[in-house]
Amino acid sequence: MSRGAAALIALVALAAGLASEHVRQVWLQPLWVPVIDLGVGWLLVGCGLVAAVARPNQPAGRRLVLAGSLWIVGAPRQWFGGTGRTDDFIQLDAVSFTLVGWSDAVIAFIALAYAGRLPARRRDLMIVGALVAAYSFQTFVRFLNVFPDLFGVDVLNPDGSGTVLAIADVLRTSLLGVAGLLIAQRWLATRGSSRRLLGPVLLAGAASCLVPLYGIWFPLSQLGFIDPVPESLAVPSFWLTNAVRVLVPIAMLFGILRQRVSRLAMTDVIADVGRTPSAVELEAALARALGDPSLRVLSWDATQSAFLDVDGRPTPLPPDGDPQTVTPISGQGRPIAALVHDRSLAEDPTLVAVGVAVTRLVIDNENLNRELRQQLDEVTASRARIVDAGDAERRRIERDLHDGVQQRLLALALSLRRAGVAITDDPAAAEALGRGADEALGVVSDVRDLAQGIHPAALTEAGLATALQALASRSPVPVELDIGLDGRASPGASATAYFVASEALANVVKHASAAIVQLRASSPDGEIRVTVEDDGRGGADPFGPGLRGLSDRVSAIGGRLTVEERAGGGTVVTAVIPAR
Amino acid sequence: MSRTRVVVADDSTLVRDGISRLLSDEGFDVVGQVGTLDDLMRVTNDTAPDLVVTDIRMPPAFRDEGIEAARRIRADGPKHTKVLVLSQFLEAEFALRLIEDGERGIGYLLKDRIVDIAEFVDAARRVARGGSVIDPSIVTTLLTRQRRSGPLDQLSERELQVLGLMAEGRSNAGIADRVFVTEKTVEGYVGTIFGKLGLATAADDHRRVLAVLKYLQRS
Repeated sequence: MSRGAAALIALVALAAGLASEHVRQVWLQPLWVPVIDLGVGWLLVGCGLVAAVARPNQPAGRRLVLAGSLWIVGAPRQWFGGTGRTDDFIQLDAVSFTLVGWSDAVIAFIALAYAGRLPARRRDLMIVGALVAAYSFQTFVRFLNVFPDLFGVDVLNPDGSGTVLAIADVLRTSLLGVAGLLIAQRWLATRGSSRRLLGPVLLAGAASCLVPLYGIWFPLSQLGFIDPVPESLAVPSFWLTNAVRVLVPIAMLFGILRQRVSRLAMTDVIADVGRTPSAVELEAALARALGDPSLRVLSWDATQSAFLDVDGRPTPLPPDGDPQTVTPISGQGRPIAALVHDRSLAEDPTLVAVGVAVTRLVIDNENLNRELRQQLDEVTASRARIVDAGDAERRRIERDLHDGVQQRLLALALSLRRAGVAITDDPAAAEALGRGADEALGVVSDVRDLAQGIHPAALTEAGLATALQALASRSPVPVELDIGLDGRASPGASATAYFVASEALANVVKHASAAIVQLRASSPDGEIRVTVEDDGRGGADPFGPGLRGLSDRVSAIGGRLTVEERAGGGTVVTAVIPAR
Repeated sequence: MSRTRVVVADDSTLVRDGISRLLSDEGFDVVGQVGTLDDLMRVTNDTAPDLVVTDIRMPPAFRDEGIEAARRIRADGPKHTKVLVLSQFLEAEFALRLIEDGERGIGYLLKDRIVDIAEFVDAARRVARGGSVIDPSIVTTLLTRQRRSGPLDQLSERELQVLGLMAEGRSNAGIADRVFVTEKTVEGYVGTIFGKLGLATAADDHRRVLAVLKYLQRS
């Protein structure tokens, strides 16, 4: 129901109330009677309108408006006697009289069917049917009573009509009492958050159906079964029955207010979850906000084809008929997650929808994070494999050069030399052969340098420590060595550590104008730590191509490279590499 | 004088053959040619040669098998067997390790030196006789480094030259030949150098090489 429509209905109800008071001449009663009369009617309509606006999906609000309207049109009045009207309004007043009590039936129906369209239980449906029948009978009898000439026959003996009316009154009041008992039974059957959410309306409904049983006194005394009600009791009973009539609207209003509070709590959920978006946090926050400790957030795992709880355990969904129900969350035709919660939460679909939206965000976020992590792991692993493969390939090429080309060239140089030495009678030929030998030896040297650049022989022959020493001994800038390696590094890790040291030293030589370099290498806790520290001019660019390449190479096998300015000038390059 | 008996170890057949022929031509008696560390140890123990000429990198691991062979032969091989290690790539570290390892003569040469037949044969003979031969390139590297860091400044050019030759394992006579002075003069140089560097006078050539290399190796 829109707010505009609600306002319009409210205005109509205000006017109708006043009109009804006038028709029924309630003004003639003491002032508190019309005040209470109008108060109950307007309260019913008002609360009904609020509920209808707040929960447009629930029929209870509109039904309450109906109950209030019926009250305004036909408020009970028998305890204060007839109107005795004789003017133009007498027929309207008579119609009003026939509708007396219907609002009670509607309130009973509201409570019996609360949180749904129709009562869920068969017996509740049956009592609703019986109430409709009893109230219709009463209306019919009253109609005949006030319009005896309607059918042209005097159906009811005017003397006996009072008796029939009293019997109808007893009947409908008793049935209302039965409805009250059934509502109370429904309340007893609820548990947990259902009771919390439905309880107020059910208890109010039970009270507003059971308390009017008290009024059965009047028809019974009319029928002569008991003494007439003493005047001293009539007024308090009027107060009491009217007081319980407003319980249901107040209970509904209370529910709506509490829902507002829940929605506020839901904003806290969103804020909390926004800070630390995890399923565990989400579940706790939603359970708090929705007031349902049994609430579970399940995420769909496509590989296991099962819902997992927040701890990752496969969890079956509750069966049909369970007090818990499932709100599934899906995206692009595939399940993403599910909220398992108390059935009564469905009472507030908006709140559940917010819960669903937040859950979808969190689970999506977790899924994305997981996928991202997996992809990152894969990329990291494949990057390390590529570097390893590259290293292995370099080692293979270096070995091929060493074992193949270099040896054959050396053998060739030796043969040429020996041939040259053997020729004693032709100095020119001997000299040519000697030059050939020198040339071949030159090529051997070139190939050695080439192989050295591809993969240092020292690394293969003597390990990282010796290779670093060799590196230091070749450096044009003096190098202070501090090497404490346990020699347990993989070939890939050793090659990377060597690469770092050699590149960093080359950078020092090229750019730093350093007087001395410190090269430190140690192997703490399954890592290799290589530090190259110079006392040069500093200002190394960690994002320049050289250091960038080093960093890439180091991080490819899971290590990290840091480049820092040294206190007092110079640069410190440190690589920490898993020794694997 | 009986011919020097030698075992040649290199996993490259071409090089192995070349070295063997060269040594044979120069009057050595090549009693074995092998291509792996295991074969080298077996043949050495079987033939008890005077000299083993071995490549550093051989099966099984293609790492430092030549160094390993030298260590094992000196530890529990034939008493008189000397080892000359050849390598495509020289490590000062290895040189020092080889010299430190034993009392006997040792050689550590760049493999290219085999092509300089006279030098190579001379080195082989010196090692076989119990001398120590260190490749000049290692000595050059060490000298260059030490000169940069200072302590050699106090030596004259001639003294530096003599120091380098000592480090290569030359005897006083060998040094005298190289620098064209008398052995007596060389002795004078050696005394001056040791005095300037604060080194104790060594008992023999081997210890002298060790002392000089250690001095040069320290950083």
